[in-house]
Amino acid sequence: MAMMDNAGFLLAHIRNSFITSDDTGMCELIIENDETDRESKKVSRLDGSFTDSGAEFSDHELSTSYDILPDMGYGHRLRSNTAQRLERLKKEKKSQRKVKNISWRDCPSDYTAEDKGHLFEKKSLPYPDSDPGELSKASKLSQQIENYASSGENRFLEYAKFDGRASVGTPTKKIDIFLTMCPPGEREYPITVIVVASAKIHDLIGLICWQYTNEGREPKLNENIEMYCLHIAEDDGEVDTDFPSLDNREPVSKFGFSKLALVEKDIPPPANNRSTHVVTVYVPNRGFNKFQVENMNTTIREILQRVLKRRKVKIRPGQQYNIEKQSEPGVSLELDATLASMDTLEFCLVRENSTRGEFEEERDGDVSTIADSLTSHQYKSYIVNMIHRLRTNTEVQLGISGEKIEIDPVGTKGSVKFLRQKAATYLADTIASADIIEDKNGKSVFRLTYFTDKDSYKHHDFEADDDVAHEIVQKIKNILEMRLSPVRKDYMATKERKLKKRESLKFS
Amino acid sequence: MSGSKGGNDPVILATAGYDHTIRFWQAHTGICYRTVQHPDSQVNALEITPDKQMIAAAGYQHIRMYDLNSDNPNPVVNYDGIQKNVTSVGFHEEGKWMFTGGEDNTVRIWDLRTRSLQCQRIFQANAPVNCVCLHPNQGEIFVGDQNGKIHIWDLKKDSSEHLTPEKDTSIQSISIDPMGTMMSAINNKGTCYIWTLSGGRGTDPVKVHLKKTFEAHSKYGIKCLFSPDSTLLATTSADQTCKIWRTADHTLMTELKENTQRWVWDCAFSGDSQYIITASSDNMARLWSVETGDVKKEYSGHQKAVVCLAFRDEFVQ
Repeated sequence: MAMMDNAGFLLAHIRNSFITSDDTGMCELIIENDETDRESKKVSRLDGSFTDSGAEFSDHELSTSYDILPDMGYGHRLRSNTAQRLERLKKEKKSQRKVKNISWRDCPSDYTAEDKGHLFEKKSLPYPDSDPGELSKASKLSQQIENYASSGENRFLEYAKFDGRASVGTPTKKIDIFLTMCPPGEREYPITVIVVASAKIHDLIGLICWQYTNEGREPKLNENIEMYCLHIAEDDGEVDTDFPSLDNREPVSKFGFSKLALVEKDIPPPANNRSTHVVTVYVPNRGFNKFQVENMNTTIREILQRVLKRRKVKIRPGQQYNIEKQSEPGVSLELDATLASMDTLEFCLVRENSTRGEFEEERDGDVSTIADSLTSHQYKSYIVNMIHRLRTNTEVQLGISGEKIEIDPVGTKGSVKFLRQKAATYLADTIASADIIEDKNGKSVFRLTYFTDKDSYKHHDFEADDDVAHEIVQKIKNILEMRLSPVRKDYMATKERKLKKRESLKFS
Repeated sequence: MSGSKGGNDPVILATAGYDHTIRFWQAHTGICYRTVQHPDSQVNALEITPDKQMIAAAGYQHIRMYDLNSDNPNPVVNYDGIQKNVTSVGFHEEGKWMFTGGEDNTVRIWDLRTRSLQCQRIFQANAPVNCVCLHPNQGEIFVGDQNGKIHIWDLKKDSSEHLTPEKDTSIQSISIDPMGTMMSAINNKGTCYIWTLSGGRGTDPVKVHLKKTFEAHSKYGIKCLFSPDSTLLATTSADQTCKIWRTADHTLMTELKENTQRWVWDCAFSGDSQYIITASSDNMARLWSVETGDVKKEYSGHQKAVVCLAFRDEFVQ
């Protein structure tokens, strides 16, 4: 009892209790490893943290526990220690047997110049100036250095030291890495990497990049290895995205995976083709709208529909709108024509039977947009479908206000409890973005990206009618713009950078 | 890249020190392609055999020979039966015998060929031996000990002479240029001596004539080495630099300095004397350009101080 205020004693007692109550032996392994770390720190504490009752306590907590004596019959634990030691000794003996041992022995007979002088003859050296040609020979090292410098160094050279192929004797891990950035034909064939077990995941990524570059694989990797992360992979190379990527700071030895995948960190690509084109539609006297279009097969009809929706144009009976090329007034475009057939991405919205000068009716649209931005911070709730990867879509009530966004599951009659989405609230300052991802027939998918307290961006996907989705996204965007939260700024900055990088990668 | 590169790459670079490993590097890339464990003691000196088949690592009370051309992680031969640290190791150029110097005050000749150990010999120095250098004529051994004496041991005649450049100092390193024309020694005060050598042919003993004494470093001197073309002398020191001197006029040509570099323990020139490799207790070995003093390559991987290196270059035909 006198020792209860001795932190060292308590800690040792707790550690011992863990070890004895754990039948698997894991606690012992972990605590033993921990002990060596603590030993090194102990020396610096000598100058004085004696805040306890002063009762003596020895360093070797594990062996001087008060209720566990070293030679008690805790069979399996003792055996595991000695078994390890015996194995080590056996290994050493084996390797020593292969080594030829020669001990110094004096020569049986004394040295005499007559008998053994011939063994130590002096060699006649050439005179210094007789062969100057020797000095001008080029060295192989110099040649190698020159050649290597001209061929260009591997940018990831600093990670080469984690290559386990060079180290005999240190524990290593052999992992197959699937490279998701390779073209489909190569993606199924992983590269085998042998890494020293003491490396961190971050170093492993560097080593993979180094080996990849060494093998001359294409496409070339981004110089910044922060762009890459490792995910667990199936045996066939499919990346398991359910689990988050492996934490960069963890040691490789912690993981037992034999197959991993190197993935480029990015906003996950939408279902369809990533390439984005921006289409501009001018509305005479009313400014313009820009649309992101995924592929060039989008028809003019779709563009027309999007513009009308975006501008909230009420189509009165007898009215019809057309799209013209901005550069060619008066020429209505075929609604079935695709963007690919156009030589421009700039169009103009024109009402049939009118020129570009008449657009009075649209003023309502304008007013409504201003009114919208003023009211965006007011609370409004929507019923939308939340999209889950593994579950069926669930109906939720999305309540958006200037302060926060709430997601409330709408309990339908037959809904099983575990399928129901949990209610969640996100403060407006943690919201990074809201974007439309997909426009399907009449329905749209939009994504709400938010920043978690674990320093990462997560997102929720929702499906709703076209106009509802657009309204929600616009509302959130307005709120974000007005609030100017740091999260939003960070997110936009990252997006900018990624866009720029993508742009530059496209042209490289 | 497989582990056994010794046979393929003509350029061999190995480093060792206090982390119980010997590392082999691809000199022009800086990549370590092989690591070998050297348990139980630090490595004091490394030397590659003249036939480039093995490398000798001198440690505490033993010398271990490792195979250069295979992946074998264990030594092939272990020489022991001696006391205290072996500080220096070298070979007869035809591989007949190996010589070592140690803290047990002796220099020993180990017979590598005959079973009858005909070549085994001992030389008593009366003080711990710091360095041993074999004259290019293969017949005379120069020994530097902690009492500041340089012994010249004539192997055939079995006689020796000695000289003491300065009392109460310790000779840390001795070097003789490949032509056998000059000898250099550096002591623990950082003072460097250069002698011209004459004789040493036939039955003539080598004669030394002191040419120059100069303060190479302000701190503890560790190693001195002549370049293969005899025009340069490198000296390393605890002052964290390696200095390159011109042997013609003893002026300083380059100072190899780097912010993180600590004591420089060993060095080796490339075959054309254009580059020099140093080993330092900041756990790194570096390749420098002799003329510009720039670091061209860094060899990083050791966990503790690197105190010795062995290097073998080849000539391009």
